[in-house]
Amino acid sequence: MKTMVFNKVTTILIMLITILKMEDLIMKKKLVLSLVLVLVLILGLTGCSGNSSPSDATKYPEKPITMIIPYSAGGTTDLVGRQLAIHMEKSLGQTITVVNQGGASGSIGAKTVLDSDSDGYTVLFTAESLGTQRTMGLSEMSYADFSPIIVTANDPKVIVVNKSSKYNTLQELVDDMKANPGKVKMSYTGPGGSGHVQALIYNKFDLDMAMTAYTGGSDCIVAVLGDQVDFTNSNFSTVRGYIESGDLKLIGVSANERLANYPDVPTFSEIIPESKEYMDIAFTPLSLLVDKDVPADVQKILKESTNSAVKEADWLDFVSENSLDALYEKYPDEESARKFYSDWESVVSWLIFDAGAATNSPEKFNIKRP
Amino acid sequence: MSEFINVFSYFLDFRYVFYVLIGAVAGLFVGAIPGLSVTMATALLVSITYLWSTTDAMATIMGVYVVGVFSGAISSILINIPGAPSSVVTALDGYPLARQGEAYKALKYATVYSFVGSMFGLIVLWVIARPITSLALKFTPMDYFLLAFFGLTTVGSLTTNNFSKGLISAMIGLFVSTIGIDSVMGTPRLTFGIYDLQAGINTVPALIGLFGLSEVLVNISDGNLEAEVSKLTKTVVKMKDILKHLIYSLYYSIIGTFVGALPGAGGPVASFLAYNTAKKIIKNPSKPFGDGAVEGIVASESSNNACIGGALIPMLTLAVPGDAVTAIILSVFYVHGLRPGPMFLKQSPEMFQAIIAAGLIACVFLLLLGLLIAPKIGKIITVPKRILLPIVTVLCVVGSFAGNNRMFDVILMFVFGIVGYFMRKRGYSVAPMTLAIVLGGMMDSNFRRAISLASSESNFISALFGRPITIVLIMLIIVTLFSNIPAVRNIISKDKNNTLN
Amino acid sequence: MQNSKKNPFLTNKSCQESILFFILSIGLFIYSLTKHYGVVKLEWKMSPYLFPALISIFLFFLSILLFSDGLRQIKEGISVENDVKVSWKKLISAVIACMVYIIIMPIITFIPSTILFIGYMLYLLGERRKLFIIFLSILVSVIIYFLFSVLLNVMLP
Repeated sequence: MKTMVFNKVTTILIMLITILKMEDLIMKKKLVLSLVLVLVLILGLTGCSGNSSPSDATKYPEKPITMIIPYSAGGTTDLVGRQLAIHMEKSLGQTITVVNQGGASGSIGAKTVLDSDSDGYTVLFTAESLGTQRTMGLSEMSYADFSPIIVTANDPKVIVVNKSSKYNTLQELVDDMKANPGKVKMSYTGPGGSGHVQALIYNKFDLDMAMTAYTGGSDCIVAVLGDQVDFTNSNFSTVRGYIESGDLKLIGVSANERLANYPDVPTFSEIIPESKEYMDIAFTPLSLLVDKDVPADVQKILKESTNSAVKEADWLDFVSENSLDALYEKYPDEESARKFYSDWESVVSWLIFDAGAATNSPEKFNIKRP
Repeated sequence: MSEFINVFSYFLDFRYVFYVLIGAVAGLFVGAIPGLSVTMATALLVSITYLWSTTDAMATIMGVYVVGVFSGAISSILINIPGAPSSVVTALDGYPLARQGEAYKALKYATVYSFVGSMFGLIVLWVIARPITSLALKFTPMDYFLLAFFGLTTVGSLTTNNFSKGLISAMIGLFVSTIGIDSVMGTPRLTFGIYDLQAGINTVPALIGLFGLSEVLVNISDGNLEAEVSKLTKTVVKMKDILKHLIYSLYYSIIGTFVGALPGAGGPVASFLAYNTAKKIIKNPSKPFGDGAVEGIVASESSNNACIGGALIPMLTLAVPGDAVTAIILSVFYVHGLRPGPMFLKQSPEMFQAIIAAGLIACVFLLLLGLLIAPKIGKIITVPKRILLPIVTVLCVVGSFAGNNRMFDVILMFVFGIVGYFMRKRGYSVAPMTLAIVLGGMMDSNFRRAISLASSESNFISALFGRPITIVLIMLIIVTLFSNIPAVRNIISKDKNNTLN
Repeated sequence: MQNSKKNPFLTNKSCQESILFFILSIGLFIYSLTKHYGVVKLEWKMSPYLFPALISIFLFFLSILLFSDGLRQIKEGISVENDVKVSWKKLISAVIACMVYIIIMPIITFIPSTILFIGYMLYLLGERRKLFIIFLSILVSVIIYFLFSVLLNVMLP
């Protein structure tokens, strides 16, 4: 790493000298001098770049890795992905450049990863929407197009409202939705996303709201902060700061168990007991994936790196601070991860389909009913 | 007071200043080369600086950011290829001025007023970050749409003699921006079965093609290649003359800072709005606007640099980046374990002060580097065209490739170059089209969001247009549109004549 | 008689252009409608084709405005002609050179193709010093290559 920086600095200096001398070269036609300069330049540069050698998989990674996050910056996927990237860098010895490519329920970024070379230098860190893309008719992609490196965590879904909102408890919100169907406004991250899945669950219990799609979790929050919408289903890590600062009110948790850090906040299934079976779903499983064509030894290197990353003390602190559910403990290897995806896919796809929100039937893709 | 001392203590920290200097020099070069954006440079820096301490990393990045935004003006002025979309406006007056042999003057004005703008933006960030945040939060999707639309109408009225031609150019740009997978529902639109178009049309190749390649083509087709791009007259530009515009500049800086604080709008909109204002409030510019008025450069550069401070506001207080560069800075924070958000200013005041200090130091370097290097770089235009044009063409190709490492982007750049050539030959300005391509996606999704939000309200129209900010924006748009329709324009000028008589 | 009446519309540049944009707006409008009703089963408020339809409507009015400009020009007898002579030969050679450059770059890699391209362009634009052409094209290619690939990690072909 240090030599790389040093090389760059030397090269910058050489370039600078050459650029400053360029004008003399062109204008004053000092050919001999300029030829000498070119020679020096070429020698210097080849010296600097002498570290390039033919690539093969065992030497992976030789250059920085790009991690695509298919949502805008500041949301939970972004937050957890970046955190994982920092710890992976330590064992990989290469930098991981995180790129946010939001939009269309995460399909745009996922597509970029599939389109790029399957050499393991472009990886995807994404939330759940891959499991619903086909059913929603958004794209032809699914988890089957990728190989799981690690299923990191499930970020608990919480229900938040603006600090000046008329709702103070989840019960009030639910009552208002019942009284005024289709009038209470909610922001969500797009069709097939976890917010959408939750909205569909609400619909099952005669709770109908007006939904507006935003490009990512942080934009959904801004919509609540700016009073554009009445509430949103957000991930806990995204809104933690706002709850602490008092800008947002935390009124409910979409789970069967209350959050350890906020024991007074009721769960959704406490308000509507029938929703219990749905609240078990890990709404936002965040995972690191690569194109399925990436060579197996590269995948192995990445897996080893993630396994050591999640043992770092900083990572563990991060997990407990944000009340994340560490899924990699439950699904440690590829087989169990794939099983997790297919179960998840079938539960959620059929839920969406039965609610009439899907374009295609899950049957079309051989997704069995749970 | 202690905060004040803390910030200025960084000025004496030699190491810190040095890190800012490294960033500033890098920013100067990267910003000035078309196709290499500040965004790219910052992203690269993140990968180099991740092992450094947070303050050192921030120092370098702020250096790149502040100086990089300024140096986009250099290529705008000298070769009419904006380094970034926010420098498009600078080219409108800067390039004509350079062709008249006053490149040095243009660069000096750009330097001084970039400095003023940056300083202003940072001071606003320092002093009143919170109130600005709450104001920015009041902007609804409809307002974002209208703001961008207002930006387009002003450009239409600014850049060509014929208003409808300017607006048509903007509409074509919007049309181009809708190509690709739509950002809300994920449906591919207008791709005509071309797979590569699904990812949409990237701004960078479009910008380089429309400005860079088409400029080359226009030059080739006009002949007289023996000529130098222009002679450079060595005139002394007095500081006193430059500082005459200070009051106006502060006004543009206010526009810039505020627009910067609105996530997604950023430099291009700010500079166009400021330019529009300049055209309205300055009755006797040194030269007509568009022919090399320094007033235009002042407006553009103060406002786009003031955006820096503005864009940092939502990034620090809401963790919502105001533009592409701040999105990357946000990641630097995460990498170093910091959490921007509503608690940031309270929890990490020392980090906040370090950012402000780095920004202010970078401003000083901007001024120094700009004034020292401007005359050196300015000599580029004394190189004969027949030598400069091939090099510029290669830079266009490489620059459009660099963003995404896609050959397809180079082809796009080439197509836009040809389109741009015909547009220029027929008197259509390419500036509105560029701005429209930059803003199209944001306009589209916000427009639909606005409709979607309003459709659940009992009164659709009042929900859509009822908010005060919305009403103001609509009024502005209507005034701009109507005052530019030829018939209305005639009536107004007749009225004036009548009252005069 | 008829000839002279027909001519102004077709020769007036604004009129020509307005017809082009008129066609484009109609095309876009039809495209949006057919796609909206044909492909997506969504309400207009969420439809991806809402915005293109909006653009087409604006463009429609603008093309009419432009046409009226053209009519006014004809009426007032203003002819907007570009006096600058276009050197088509050089322009077309340059465009073709660019195309060839873009096509061969992935095949013969960056540096050789750039040397050839700059060399040709310099010659086309009137540079005749042979040594200078060779020298400059090599220098520029090498500098740009290293600037981008070494310093900025851009993988040039």
